[in-house]
Amino acid sequence: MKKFYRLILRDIHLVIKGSSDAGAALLFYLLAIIMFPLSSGTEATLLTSIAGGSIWVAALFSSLLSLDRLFRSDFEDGSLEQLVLSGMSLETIVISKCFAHWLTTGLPIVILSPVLALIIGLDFSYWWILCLTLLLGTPSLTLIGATPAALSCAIGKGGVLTALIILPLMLPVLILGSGAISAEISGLGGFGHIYALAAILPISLVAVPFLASKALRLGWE
Amino acid sequence: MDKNFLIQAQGLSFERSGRIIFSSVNLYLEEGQIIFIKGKNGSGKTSLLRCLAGFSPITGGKILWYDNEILPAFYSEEPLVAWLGHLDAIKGSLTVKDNLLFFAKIWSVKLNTLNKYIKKLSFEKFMNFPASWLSAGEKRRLSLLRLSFCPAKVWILDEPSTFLDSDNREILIDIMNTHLKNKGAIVCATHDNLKISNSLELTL
Repeated sequence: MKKFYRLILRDIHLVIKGSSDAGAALLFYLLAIIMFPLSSGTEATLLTSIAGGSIWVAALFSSLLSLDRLFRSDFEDGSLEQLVLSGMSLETIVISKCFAHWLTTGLPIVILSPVLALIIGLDFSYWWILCLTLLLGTPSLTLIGATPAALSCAIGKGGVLTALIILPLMLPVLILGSGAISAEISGLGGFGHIYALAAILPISLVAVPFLASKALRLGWE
Repeated sequence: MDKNFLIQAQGLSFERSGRIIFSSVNLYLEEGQIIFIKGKNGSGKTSLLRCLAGFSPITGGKILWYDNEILPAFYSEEPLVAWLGHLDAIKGSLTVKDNLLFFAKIWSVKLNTLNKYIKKLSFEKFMNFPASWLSAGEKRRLSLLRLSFCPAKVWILDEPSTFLDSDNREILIDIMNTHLKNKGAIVCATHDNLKISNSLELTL
């Protein structure tokens, strides 16, 4: 457990020192959200109806951006080998790296979202459902992206290819997340979507460490 | 004959996409022993080391660590092996100190021990530099420093003397000798003639 925290702390330290994409991903999130009113006009009724969806799309793209490098730098500089030989199971390493990734990209997105929702015209009374869906959804986004990110290390290619693999896998989270918000706005109540969204998280939490570590081992062979 | 073998590897063979890299290799390692693995470029030295550590699955034979069928890369309690390979696992954006402290902490090494080795390799003046400022040779010395305080009994070294000048080669030999004296054991692939007494040799 101690090693688990150490690794998370080191990853956060690396983000602060600027050697990861987390800061850039957050900026991207802000900019992408501003693009929506610029491209679809500033009509209040229109913006209200697309606000939830656009925040979700921006959150998805910004986590997509930083996911490609989730394991890559550790894989390429040999840190991952050293960690595995240090008496940490690869599954633990995967979980701790995902957790650090969520803390540095997912959590800031959740925290910033009420402010951004105001900017693009979502009624303030819906901030709680927006935050709740993002809080449940962003960890799933990180976890779902982890296996393709590990695979991209194994084949030595990344970037667009990783994005192409990850995007379809993330669709259910996107549909449920933005669906919850629009259902709540239309008066149907968003909890149906939220329950389904909440179910994805434990499933991916259990499955992903094994899949991603298998993919990383493939890269070592 | 009942010896305490740290590693027993029998009839190892390894092939990659149909090409046989090495076959029927036997390797026995005891406490205080060093085995040099020699061979031409491409003869499979690194592959053999990676198989021993468990990174690559062998296609034939059997590897026992401490009489058990465990491999260091799958073992999640204490470190079984210290690894020094081609990749240095140094984070350029962190300081030298943070790089060392991270491993010292996950290996539960005491700070006194760490400081002792920092002095030994005269790294004090580099401690607050970002590791990316170091030259290739200095990075190698940093890896040696990390190696020397790793609590694992077995060291697997892949070309440890690359980038090192003659003075630092002496330091490397000194570190290896100290480890052997403390009942450690080393498997080392190298092209250089590192002079260590009572060493065994395995040619691939």
